[in-house]
Amino acid sequence: MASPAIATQPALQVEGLRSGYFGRTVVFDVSLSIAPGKVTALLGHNGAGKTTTLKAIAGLLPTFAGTVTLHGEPITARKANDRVRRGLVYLPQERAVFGTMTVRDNLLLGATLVTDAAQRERRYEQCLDLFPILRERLGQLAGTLSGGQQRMLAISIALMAGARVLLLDEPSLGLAPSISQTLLQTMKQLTEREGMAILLVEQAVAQALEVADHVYVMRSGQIVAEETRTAALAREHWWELF
Amino acid sequence: MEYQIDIVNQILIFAMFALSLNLLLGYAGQGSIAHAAFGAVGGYAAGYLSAKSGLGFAPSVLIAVVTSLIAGTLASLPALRLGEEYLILLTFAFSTIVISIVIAWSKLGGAYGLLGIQQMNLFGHDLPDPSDKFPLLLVLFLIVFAFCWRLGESPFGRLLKAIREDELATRSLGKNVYAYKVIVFGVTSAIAGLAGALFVYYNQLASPQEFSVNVSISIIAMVVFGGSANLFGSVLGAALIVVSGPVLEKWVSLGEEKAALWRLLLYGAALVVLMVLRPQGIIPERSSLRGWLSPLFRRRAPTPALVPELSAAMAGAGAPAPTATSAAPENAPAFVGAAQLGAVTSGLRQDVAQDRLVQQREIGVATLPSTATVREPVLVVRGLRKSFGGITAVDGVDLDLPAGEVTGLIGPNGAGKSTLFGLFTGFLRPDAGTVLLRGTDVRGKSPDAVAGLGMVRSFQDVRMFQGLTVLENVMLAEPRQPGENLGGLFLRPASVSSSERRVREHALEYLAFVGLVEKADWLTAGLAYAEQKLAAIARVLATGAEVLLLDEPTSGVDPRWVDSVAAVIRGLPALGKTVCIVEHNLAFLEKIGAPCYFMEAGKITAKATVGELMTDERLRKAYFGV
Repeated sequence: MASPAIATQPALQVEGLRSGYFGRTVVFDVSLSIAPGKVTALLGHNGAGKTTTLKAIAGLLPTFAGTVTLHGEPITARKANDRVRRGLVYLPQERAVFGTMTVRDNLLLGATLVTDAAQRERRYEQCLDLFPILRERLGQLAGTLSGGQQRMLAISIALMAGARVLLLDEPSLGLAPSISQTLLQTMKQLTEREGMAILLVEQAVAQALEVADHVYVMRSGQIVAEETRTAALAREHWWELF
Repeated sequence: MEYQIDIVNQILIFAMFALSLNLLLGYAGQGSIAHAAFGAVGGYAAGYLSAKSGLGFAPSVLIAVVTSLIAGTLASLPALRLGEEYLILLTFAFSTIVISIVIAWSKLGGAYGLLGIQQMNLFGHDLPDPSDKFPLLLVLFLIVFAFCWRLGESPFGRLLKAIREDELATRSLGKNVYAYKVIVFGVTSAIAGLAGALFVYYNQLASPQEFSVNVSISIIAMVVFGGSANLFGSVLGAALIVVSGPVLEKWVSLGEEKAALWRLLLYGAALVVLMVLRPQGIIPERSSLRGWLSPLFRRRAPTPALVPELSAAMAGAGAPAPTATSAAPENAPAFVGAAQLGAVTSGLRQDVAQDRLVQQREIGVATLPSTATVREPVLVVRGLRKSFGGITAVDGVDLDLPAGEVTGLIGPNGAGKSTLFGLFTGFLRPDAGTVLLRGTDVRGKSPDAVAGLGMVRSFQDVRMFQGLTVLENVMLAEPRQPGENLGGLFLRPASVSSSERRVREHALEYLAFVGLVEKADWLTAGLAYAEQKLAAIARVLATGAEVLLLDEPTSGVDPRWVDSVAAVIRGLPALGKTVCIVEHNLAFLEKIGAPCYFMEAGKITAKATVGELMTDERLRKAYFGV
């Protein structure tokens, strides 16, 4: 697998990031280091600035200050589409599917940048194994899926993109418990097997802690704690972190 | 001097066009390219009456206004049922038809236009010169501005903006969107008719070119340049575009033809530049002097002085004091997390709940179900069926919602839970079965009618009006506001303003209920997703409906806050509410102690408490996969 030199280099390094909306700064001096092959969780209460952080990393919000480095390459000045091209993929919280296209086309669209047909095929099957209901609905228009199924499709599209670093904003949102558990376990396997790095924002904290190797906690737009999973699990009440 | 006054007069007339179109396009979001054509209806009506029947100025203008009101209302009836693209096509067709008719009809002067129109005349005095006409036009302009302001900056205007943001969500709050669209189309056509009539009288000529689609597009440009949904912007836009012609003609001394060409070129260039630099227009929505100043205050409003209280409140609640908050950068406190706000407002929340409880008891004992009697179901559903193409989403569902209770609805993704809510509230039409709300069959009724009968839903994907403030979102939900109809707005201003105060207070109470009162003045788009979910609960509550259908109210909401939501929902039966919740968070439903229906593949397969359902091995497998 990866050489030791690369393994020590973080997949994603964020330093002193400031970002926000409408000229209002919402996250302040956020610094994160995401290791390859690991799941890193970003926890915090509503409005703490988690989604803003993800969007800024993905290039969808302006960076007021700070730097974002992907596998050693500075990408702060890169546009969102350029970042995707370099393997940084973001799954939004909303139902990000193309409603008037079929499920199959949605999935293939996710793999637009993947040139290796075998890899595309493998991912396609992985997604359909992960969400068997999508296999039954391949020819159906995405807009006619139920809310939860649209979420499954959105996650699959993100997986299809061949990400090296995946930013997941509440993947379990609106999913039945059986599905969300399988989902997080699958994510975990993908990181271990393929060296992908995941930055996970999740309200299902207990579930997130099951798969996360490393935990950051945000409050009022700042990182207020950084812990290893074992330390976080050792706490009697994890919400003390908030 | 007369020359400059002439230009000002034209600005006043075109400002009336722009103001009225702004109500339609900027506020209500209805794109019409027939605004000048409605001006033609008024203009030709007035011109014909003056030239051929010798009718005086005032009566012919009055008849012109009524004619265009009728024309606008009739034209809108079919047009507004359709989507945006069709509205553009239909208004284009209307415009072409009107212009073709006036050209083809020799009595209206044909292609050369209608001549022989009398002077503007007031109390028997002719007004021959621009300076004579100016006072009259100024007064009429001010009346139109005041009228549009009253419509736009009122509960009525708030509703128009809601329609612009999300028609479906507006209907879910019990508002008859179609009726409002017809009203605003009719009223704005009438104003266009007034402007058209004045224009014809002003020039003593009615010609087809003056009302062509190109002119309609110029009026759209005035609205867009100036700023959508800002009436001052429309006046500025009208001024800029009207002035551009004479400026090029006289002061840059180009010939009339050349000036017209340059003008087009300038429009195009200006449009591109504005689109890039200032897409919201020169004076954007919500910007007034007060609006420009208030962000300065608002940003400072959640003062650092609050922070020690927060720490104390949180320490008191057994949570560690937030050390980072005090160390946060100076403007960080503007972004106070919901959980912290909850700590501040939790006291208020309970007070509010109690207050409202007392209030409800005093006002509506008779209408409330007595908790002592046997809980008869408020909603009775039998044999409900719905399929989409080949897929049967709901397959013979029987379900009862007992009065004053919280009932859960759980099941795997795609089981048909949200579809069921859609069927109950009129968003979808069932293929078979009955939905009885207090004995009334609501099948086939529109969402706003169902809401009026006392049943509303929330949406899984929230559907808050992003371009409105949080407070406005909740205020909108209040039913039967006198300020939402024209009669109330213009005939009972006192009752409108007192109702508006009351609605605002109520809305703030509901926002306090969900802990968002500090962000009441924020644009909803600036809220975190989970905060929008909470605001959506406040909005549903504000409808005052008896039956509340909540679609995943806690998904994406942080766990500590979920407890607060649970407390809120547990308190609802005491307010006489009957609640049904679709939720994947079973711990949450267990906390509420709600009995649950279990739904799989379009069918209800079990009903029991969460604990009981999950001891059933088959169901557990279906849901948890273990």
